[in-house]
Amino acid sequence: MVDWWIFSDSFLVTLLVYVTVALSLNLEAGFTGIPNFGKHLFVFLGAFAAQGIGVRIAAWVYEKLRPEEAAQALTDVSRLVPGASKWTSLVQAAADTDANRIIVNSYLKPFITSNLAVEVLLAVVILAVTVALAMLFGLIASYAALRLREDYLAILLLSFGELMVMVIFYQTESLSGGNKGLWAITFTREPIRFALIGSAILAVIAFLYAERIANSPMGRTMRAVRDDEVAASVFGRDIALIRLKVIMAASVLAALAGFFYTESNASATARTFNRVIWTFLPWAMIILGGMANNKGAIVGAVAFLIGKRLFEYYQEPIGQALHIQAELVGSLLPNILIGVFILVILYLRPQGILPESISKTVDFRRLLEEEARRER
Amino acid sequence: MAILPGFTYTLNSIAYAAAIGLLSMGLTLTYMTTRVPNFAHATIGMIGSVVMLFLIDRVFYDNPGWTLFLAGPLLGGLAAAAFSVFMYVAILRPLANRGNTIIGLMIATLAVDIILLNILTLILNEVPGKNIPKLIGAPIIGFQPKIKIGNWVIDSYTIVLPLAAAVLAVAFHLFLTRTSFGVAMRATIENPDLASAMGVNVSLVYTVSWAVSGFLAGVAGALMAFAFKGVDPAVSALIIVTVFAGSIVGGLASVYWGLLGGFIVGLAEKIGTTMINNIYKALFVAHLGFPNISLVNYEKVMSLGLVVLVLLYAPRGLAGVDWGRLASRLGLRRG
Amino acid sequence: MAGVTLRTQALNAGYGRFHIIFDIDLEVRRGEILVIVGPNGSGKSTLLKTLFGLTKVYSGRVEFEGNDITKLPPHARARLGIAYLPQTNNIFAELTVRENLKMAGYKLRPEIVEERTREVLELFPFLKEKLNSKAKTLSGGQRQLLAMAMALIRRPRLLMFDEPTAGLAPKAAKEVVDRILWLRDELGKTVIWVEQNAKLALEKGDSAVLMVSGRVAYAGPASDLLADKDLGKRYLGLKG
Ligand SMILES: Nc1ncnc2c1ncn2[C@@H]1O[C@H](COP(=O)(O)OP(=O)(O)OP(=O)(O)O)[C@@H](O)[C@H]1O
Ligand SMILES: [Mg+2]
Repeated sequence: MVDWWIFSDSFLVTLLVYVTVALSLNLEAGFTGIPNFGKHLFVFLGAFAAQGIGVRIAAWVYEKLRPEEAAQALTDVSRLVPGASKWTSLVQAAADTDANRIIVNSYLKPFITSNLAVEVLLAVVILAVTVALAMLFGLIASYAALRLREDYLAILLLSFGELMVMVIFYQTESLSGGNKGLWAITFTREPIRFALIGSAILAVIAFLYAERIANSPMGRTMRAVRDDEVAASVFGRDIALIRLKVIMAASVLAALAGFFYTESNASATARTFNRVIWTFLPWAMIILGGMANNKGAIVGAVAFLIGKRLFEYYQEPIGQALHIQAELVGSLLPNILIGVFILVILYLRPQGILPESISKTVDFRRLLEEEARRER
Repeated sequence: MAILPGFTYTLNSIAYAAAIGLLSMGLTLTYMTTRVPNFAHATIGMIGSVVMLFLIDRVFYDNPGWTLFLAGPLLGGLAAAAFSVFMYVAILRPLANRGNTIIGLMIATLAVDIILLNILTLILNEVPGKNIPKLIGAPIIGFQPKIKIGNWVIDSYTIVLPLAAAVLAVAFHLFLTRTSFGVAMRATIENPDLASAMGVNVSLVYTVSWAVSGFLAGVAGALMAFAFKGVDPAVSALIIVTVFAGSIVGGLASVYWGLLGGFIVGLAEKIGTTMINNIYKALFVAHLGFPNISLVNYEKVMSLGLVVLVLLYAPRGLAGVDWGRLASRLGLRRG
Repeated sequence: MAGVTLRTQALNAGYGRFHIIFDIDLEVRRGEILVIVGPNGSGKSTLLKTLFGLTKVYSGRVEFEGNDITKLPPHARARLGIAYLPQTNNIFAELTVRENLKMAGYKLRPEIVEERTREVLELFPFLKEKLNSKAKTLSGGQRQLLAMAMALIRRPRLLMFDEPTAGLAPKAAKEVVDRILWLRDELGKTVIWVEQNAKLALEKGDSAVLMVSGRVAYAGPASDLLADKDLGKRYLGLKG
């Protein structure tokens, strides 16, 4: 029997978060043909907003509103954590890997949850920061996306994602805690509930938005363009705009997903936002569901996560059966299986990469051909 | 305050750059023939590292000598070539024949990358070493013959790796120009339809290009194993970024420029970053109060920075630059 | 009466879903030049590609020297003695002239290639000085001649040219045309020649096919088409 804990609240948040990320990737890859291989960066941006930036903002507000308490907190922490005299302000200490845990959990959280106005305001500000970060990086990505061929673009986005997450954020302790990570600012006395409700709302918004795009004239144009260079050249200018819009929306959705994911975990480390689980896995989901198919993306997300979860749950018996250490079963085997799975889907349903019903889209090549013929 | 890096560091950097050059060269080759950017390429190189590690553990543990430096790259290269061919013939070609788009094929190479990486990690974790107790993360730097010049003791891989790169590049050049199959390969790269009309087995040419590419990667990986603190296939995740950078800087249109692009990017990443770091420490930290952090940790920024520069100013890479015109424009040559 | 080198019957072909040429019936007799003319986009290139097996055939039949070749892949047709010289990309620009000739004889034994290369160089002496230069350094006309030389290394009996004079200066174009006539007159080859310059080609050719919208609008002696004021004015821009 499968214990119910595997479908706990935190699992549900993970599920909803992945649904959002898969839908957002589907917007880019499925509808617009942008091969975003750096999705993990955009998810991490939300995590960074919740921890690295969130704790700094919260500490700053704390210092402003309760200066004596904040000063006391700084003294307390300096006593508790060795070698702490280097911090001159609580803001600095709050994002320091040594003091972060104590400051966030013992001072900032009680302060935030005791004051509804502060709590709401802080949540709004941190969400705004998430959106702003996502748009900034979305802008960078679209700069490349509007200029490069898809293979170059894929290479560049993957490289950029790896560089930002695994080098910049991972190597720089003062940004997001480096390899130790940071505790994040969470909200309400039951942060998981907050994350659950937030990620559910987000997933619904993502779905409605993606559906609207898919069935709008714009969505149909995009699919025609994705499949056809002739159509692409005809619609050149509109496409640039649509692509920009889609990348922006997708980036914001992914970052917000990363934000709620971090809320449910209460902490985040750059290293865990690697390209296997936050780029490749979402790709696997949308390929399983059939690209450019929103419901399919959701089905893909649910199927993969439940499968993965069951696998982790049974890692002991599987490990014994295969004579492999249990923790390797949990960490390595699922990756191998996901990889094999993708190859099998690509083989069985190559058109799974563009399977949406023909009836909805216009056959642009036909149209253009006929037009050209009439002109002669 | 010295700006230039030390002697040993320079040697290590040149060796690293040569390895990246070999990897970029192979990546460029398969891109030119089959048009797929291979995201698994660096991990394929790791097969060479793993073979080297096993050779040391099983065969050469007690007397690692120069034969190790012959056997390791050779066997590592062959193993990587075999995998590379398998990847093309058994995975990518069927997928392409089934009508997958370039995005589908790129995902397939990502999938292969993840599968291979996890299998190699699993092997190094689970297979017990004969002499080395734990293979994963085992440092093997001590197993190389030492070269002594006066007081200098040199890691021999730093000499062998650039040498191997040079020899392989010349050998491949001779293959491309002196053998009819090599000429057919160049012809196929330029115009596969016409080549097949001439009776060239294009599919075989593609397969051979994947074999060569894998071999080059395996040789690089086998010798690079000595540069790691410990052999761990996971390093490929970041190496691939540098390899792609080298290939794009080279232009993805010529194997020689691929080699050179990889070499340039590799050197810039190591020596360039160190020099910038030294300047930063000497000037900005010491006199202007900038935070005392090590810029060397951010060496990958250099690779990606070069890529961005190249894409902005020479979108077709160094291979696409009209060097003759550039030289005359700069007054280096009368034109 | 000379035998028939190539014949098609009710040939329908195109690219995937795009049906381009319809019910083509034509015939080329051994040792003659068949000229194919027609407006832009009428399917001349598609017809030539179809004869070489590069398009999708929906129905109909292609016969070469009496054998059904409808289903044969291009390289098999090349082996049977058909050479196809596409409008562009008919040589390897990045390879040297010598390497191009070598590629032309890729499937032949090295001694044979060497011998025929020597023959071909006698026929196209200008290539001798260019042997070690990249083919992209040749002029447009020289490239067409190199393509012709490459085709000759395989000793084809039928050569199919797609607009060999397109984009050439008059002098270079004349040289190419003279060579095509020479192929027929001196070497006894059969030629199918797609040409934009209808007047020129119809003057030189033996028989002609006029393509309009993917169909054969005329098939018969070249001189008759040249004389047909109505067809000429309507489709070929010939002065009435
Ligand atoms: N690869 C292709 N896929 C789909 N349609 C094509 C393709 N190539 C050509 N066509 C279409 O086939 C038709 C005939 O083209 P074709 O090149 O055979 O004409 P043509 O008579 O050679 O013209 P031109 O005189 O300009 O060379 C055109 O409508 C063209 O758009
Ligand atoms: Mg044509």
